[in-house]
Amino acid sequence: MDNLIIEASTSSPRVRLDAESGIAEFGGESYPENAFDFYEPISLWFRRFIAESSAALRLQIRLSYLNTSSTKCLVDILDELDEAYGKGRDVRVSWYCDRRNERAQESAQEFGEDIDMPFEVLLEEGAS
Amino acid sequence: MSTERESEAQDPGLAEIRSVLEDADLAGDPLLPRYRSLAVRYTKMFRSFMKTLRISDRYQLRLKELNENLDEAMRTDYLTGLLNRRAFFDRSSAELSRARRHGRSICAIMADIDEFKNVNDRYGHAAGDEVLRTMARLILSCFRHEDICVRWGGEEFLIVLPDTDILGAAVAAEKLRSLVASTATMYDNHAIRVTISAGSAENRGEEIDLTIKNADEALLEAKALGRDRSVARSPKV
Repeated sequence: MDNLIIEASTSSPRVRLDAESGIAEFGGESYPENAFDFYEPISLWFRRFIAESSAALRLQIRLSYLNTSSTKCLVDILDELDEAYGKGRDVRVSWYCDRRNERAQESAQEFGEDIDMPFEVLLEEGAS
Repeated sequence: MSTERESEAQDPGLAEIRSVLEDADLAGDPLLPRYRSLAVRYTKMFRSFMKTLRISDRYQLRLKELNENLDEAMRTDYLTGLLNRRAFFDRSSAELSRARRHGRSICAIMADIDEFKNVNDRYGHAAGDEVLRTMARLILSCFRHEDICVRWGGEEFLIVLPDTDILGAAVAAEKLRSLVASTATMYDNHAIRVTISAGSAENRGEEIDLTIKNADEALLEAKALGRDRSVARSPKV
């Protein structure tokens, strides 16, 4: 299965989905003109990774801002991962926030609501 | 989550789906499993929709806060925390029209640190910055909340006093002058002492620029008289 790598632009995050290591990373800000187009291949990658492999998945997120459509896309991706977790898959989400940005921590926590898989919000210095 | 349960309880779509699924006519219907699957799908969509809204609201709140901070920063002098000129013109025009409407007097005080260049030359610019911060602190302690305190230029400060006549302004300027003269700024184990000269003028219904100019002239007079003093300009009638 292929890796999916998308470089960051001013309005879209950098995305690194590594099939070998099972590590998926999002970083930056997300307000692309068409979030559904942007996230479609990403969400497809996750679906295939879940279906075609049984390896553990680690999702690491460093997103400081998401517009509403991007939020919707990410909520849906997390739902699919949570469903896989419910079926016994090893999935863990780590969301990194800037220590000084309390609001970002609250938003990150909110993404983890109603989700059963391990979902941690971690603070770091100068993260996005 | 209780909020989510509440919103689910209030959603008419969900309520209708539930009541249809419980309808006795549907018992034994071969399509029932597919209806149930649709119901699950709808419930998931509804939850994801509500969650997206909650998160989106948070981001909007944050953007709003950032905007307010930016607005504040745009109106504040970075070094001293006093208002800058831009904020001054916004506030002074409101104060001026209020004074006119109620027939009240309004005054301006222009204060300038005497021979400030010497502080910079002798102790360095960082020391000069510290002196400017002390000045701001003294100004804020000396004047009322409703007075408009502005860093006008390098070492020049403007204070506009609503509901104050020229006598009141002269007293306030003198109070600031003596406070500054008796306060040292500690910097790098040096006690730096400065004095100020100040000029006051009363607004007589003219544009605020002219009042400032009058206060400035009074300030120059104070400088010419030997500094460390305040001069009140008697209003031109």
